[in-house]
Amino acid sequence: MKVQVMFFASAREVAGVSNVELQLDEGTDTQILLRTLVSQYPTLNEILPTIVIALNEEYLEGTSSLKDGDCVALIPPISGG
Amino acid sequence: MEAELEKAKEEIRRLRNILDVNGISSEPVGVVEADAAGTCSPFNDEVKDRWRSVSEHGLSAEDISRYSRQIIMPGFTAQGQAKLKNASVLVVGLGGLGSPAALYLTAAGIGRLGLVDSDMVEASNLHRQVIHSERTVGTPKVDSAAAACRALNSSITISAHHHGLSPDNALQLVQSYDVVLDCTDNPPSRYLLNDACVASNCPLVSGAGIGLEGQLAVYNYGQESCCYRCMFPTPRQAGQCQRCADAGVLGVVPGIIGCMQALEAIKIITGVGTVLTKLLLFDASAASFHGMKLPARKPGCAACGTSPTELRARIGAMDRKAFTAEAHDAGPTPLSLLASTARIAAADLAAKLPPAHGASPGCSESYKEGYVLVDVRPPHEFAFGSLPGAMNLPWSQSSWSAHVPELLRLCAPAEEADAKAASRPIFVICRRGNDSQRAVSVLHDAGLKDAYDVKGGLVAWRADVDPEFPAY
Ligand SMILES: [Zn+2]
Repeated sequence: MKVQVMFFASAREVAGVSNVELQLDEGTDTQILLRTLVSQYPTLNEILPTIVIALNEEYLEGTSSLKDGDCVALIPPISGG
Repeated sequence: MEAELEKAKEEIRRLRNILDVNGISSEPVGVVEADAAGTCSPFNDEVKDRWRSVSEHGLSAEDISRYSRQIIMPGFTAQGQAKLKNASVLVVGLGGLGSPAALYLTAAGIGRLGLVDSDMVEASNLHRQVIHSERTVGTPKVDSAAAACRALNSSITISAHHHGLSPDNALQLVQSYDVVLDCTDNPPSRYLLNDACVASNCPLVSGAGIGLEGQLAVYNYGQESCCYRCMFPTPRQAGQCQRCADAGVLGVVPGIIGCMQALEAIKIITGVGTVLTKLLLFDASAASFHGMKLPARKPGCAACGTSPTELRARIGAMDRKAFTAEAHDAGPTPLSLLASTARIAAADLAAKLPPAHGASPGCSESYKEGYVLVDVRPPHEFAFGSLPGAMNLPWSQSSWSAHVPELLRLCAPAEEADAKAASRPIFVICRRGNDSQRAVSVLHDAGLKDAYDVKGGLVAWRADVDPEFPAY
């Protein structure tokens, strides 16, 4: 299945891209996806505790299963003003 | 989309009917002018009735005239304007967000506007903090902002709070306003303001902007709405902070978010439209907006999960040091990774460098002078200005160690048998002296013990050695 991942703010800096489309095995959940992303972008691990995850534009509490076409967004808080 | 349009049209028809029933013309300006001119038209009584029904809302003829372009909007009306006139908004932070927010609220006719900031206006603020001007550089931001607002609209009440936001005054400040705008630039202020709003049951319109990105959300609005802590329970660690001074910001980006903060405040006060229930993400580079529906209140939230009384007690007892350390510091917390023997003061480095006029800036041949000078700032910052002979090897946690072989070679070139050349020291400099320490640690670990970090970086260089070095 294909899942789109969007990076914002410091997550975008770490990943170096604003979004990627990943080909994932069936049964991959958001937790596995995050682990995959951390192995791809190790610095992501440092900011992960502060990051809010959105699944299809909804706040994600805990872990969720993923299906083809899902969009996961990594949203760190920004403070600048 | 079409259904929404139809719904909106239906709403307009409904409101028009209400206006007609109430005898309020959809062109109140005309009504006022007729009344003010005292024209004896056959409809005079009717005109007076209409005027009276408007004046019940406490708007003066000047008000009606001044705000006519928003009053004539069917969804807004004189009632909306009157609600604005009777409402108060606290704008905390008069930077890139607070500048346009305060100006638009002033222009829209908010009754009472509170302004909070303890900073002074700096020249580097002006590209985004549009409420200030060259004339007010060096003066308190609250005074500069209050003067600009008064010049724009003398009919509103402006309270300038000079002392900034602190655990001592947060509750008291927030309590006397209907809506609070978070236009601050640091996490401790954001959490403090959130807690004060939760404890005071006050809606919080939170904005943020950095680089080419902005965020906007309305927290603590009604019983269902979550708070900032529900959304971001874990504060960022020191060193991860992204401030405008460190990360850069395109001025228009916080400008857009600040305007939207004013807009949401006006919507909350007047009831016009639907108040934002998402975290709105503005991506200026792609000119796109994304949204994420806010979560429900979290029962375990440290702010909204406890009783307001309990929370009030706790705000006073907050860790002030942690708050002020990050809130009023101009940059990231200075690290001390290295022993003092591995650090050199800017003035001591200056004594070792050749006279500035003798070297061509940007050349990377400092090793010919008997030392190696490495600047680890990003290339675009290096381009602002650099020390003579410095070579630019930008810091990167993951890949900077790749420069070690090259530096080893520069310190002790194999082709030179000169014993003196074999022990060239390496001086590492950055903007403020944190990344340079990280780089020197890498060199030490690689066996290059004769490596030193320039304490306080180029900020210290400017302060202690060369005031002409560009500040940024
Ligand atoms: Zn909460």
